[in-house]
Amino acid sequence: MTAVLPAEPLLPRVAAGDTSAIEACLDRYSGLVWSLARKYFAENADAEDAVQEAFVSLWRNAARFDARIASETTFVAMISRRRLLDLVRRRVRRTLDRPDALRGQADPSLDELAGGETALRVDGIDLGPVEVREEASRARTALAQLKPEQREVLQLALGEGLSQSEIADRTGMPLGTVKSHARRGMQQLRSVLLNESSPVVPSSPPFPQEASR
Amino acid sequence: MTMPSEPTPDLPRPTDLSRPPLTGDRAARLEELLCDRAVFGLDAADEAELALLMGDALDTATGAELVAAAVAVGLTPSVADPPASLRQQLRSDAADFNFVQAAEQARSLPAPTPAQSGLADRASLAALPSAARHRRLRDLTWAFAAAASLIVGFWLGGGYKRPDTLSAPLAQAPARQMEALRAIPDSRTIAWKPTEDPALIGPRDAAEGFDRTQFNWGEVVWSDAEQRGFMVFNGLMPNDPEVQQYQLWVFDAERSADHPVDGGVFDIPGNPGESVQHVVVPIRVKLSVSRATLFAVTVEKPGGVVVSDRSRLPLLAQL
Repeated sequence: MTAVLPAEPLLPRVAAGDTSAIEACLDRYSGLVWSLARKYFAENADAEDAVQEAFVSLWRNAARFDARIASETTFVAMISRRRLLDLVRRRVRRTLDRPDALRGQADPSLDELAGGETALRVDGIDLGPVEVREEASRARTALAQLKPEQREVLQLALGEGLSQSEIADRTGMPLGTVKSHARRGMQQLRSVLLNESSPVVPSSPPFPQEASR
Repeated sequence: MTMPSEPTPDLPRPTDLSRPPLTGDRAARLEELLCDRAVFGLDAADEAELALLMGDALDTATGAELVAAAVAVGLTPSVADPPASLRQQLRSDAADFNFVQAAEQARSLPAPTPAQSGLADRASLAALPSAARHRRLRDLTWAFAAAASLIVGFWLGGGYKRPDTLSAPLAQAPARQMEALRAIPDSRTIAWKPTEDPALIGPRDAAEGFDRTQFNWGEVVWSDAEQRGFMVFNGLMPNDPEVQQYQLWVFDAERSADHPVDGGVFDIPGNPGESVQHVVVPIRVKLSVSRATLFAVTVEKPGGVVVSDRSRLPLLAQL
């Protein structure tokens, strides 16, 4: 059974300390943040610590969410990824092995992903509203437009959480080439997404984000 | 030698991004670092370099990070349930979290404005109807976006920090204290690395065979445990404190994407144009440094700055 969650953003209510919104926010996004964390941390304990830190950062930043700039899902992912990458750098606990939970799972092909048939779901429940799925689909479509080598590097980095050196090892590309493909690919992605009509990337004046760490 | 004890009244605020946009190689390097941060994260050295380029805007999330986040979500076709114990812990964390205080802190931070950034064109974008806005956005280049990324994203930084003005007793170089500090188990000594900054250029540069990369420019002696240290300078040109002063910045690994700690301003005494050997300057950080990773000396206006434009950066010492 598929249940579509309300499109109304939760973070403004979270920022006000609304306990029901906080609970709903955890229900809606803890799976996403957990899945992102598992890309970077092989050990459950490390991933759990990282998710906890990511959510504390999200609570701190909840008041600064602005739907004109990004969807709530992208906002949550951005805050989480920054914290996760920071923890990876600090702890250096990541292993080259994929987490147990992910072993045996084949990555979906880009065609499958671009088709949007594999929308974000938890136990058969859509993670987010229609516009979130559309945004994710746009990002995947943009990725599909890249040169193959750029796409491969960004898929490994953003989809699997591999570092530059791990990508070099995996693909046989020189490290500098990995960096070049990532940078050019991101340049292209941004260019493509700027042509879109929805706010995947910022299109309005800035707003502050984190008060403290 | 005059050592101002208070910052000058026109110190830039954290949200003052009015310094001119970076150009040339520095802009290109900024672009690379922002992309790398968004896709891979940065190691300590690159983060320190980014901090030097972005200053107080270091924690500003960029368009690149939003694009990376959107793609990362798009490449996460399904999500796994977190362990029940984690969900319970998250609820417990939320119950302990002071949302009201966090929101107040968030709102107390002034947001940088496009006008402050010098990128007024961005300001007009918000006023345009969506379609027109995106037509105009289409025309923006990546390079422009990299510069604009200082303002188009989210302000993640901390509050306003006053500079820690340092009155260094240069005339009484505390060499003995420095040697005592070296004996502390956690103390570290790091050699200065030179740049091409003119503050290092003196008569010796005219000497045949002079290799600045081989020259001993001095060192930093620092103890995280003691929260103090000393800088030894060889060959740094004397400054006129009425015109400019040197300022130390200490990068802290545990501060992550926060700002470097202001290590205070100091002077190098001597005759103009004649470099001085073995000047010892104590480091007196007023903010805690958990684990120093990089020490950087910049040249600033008298009294120092809160946000350095990093246009003059003669010496670096990286752990």
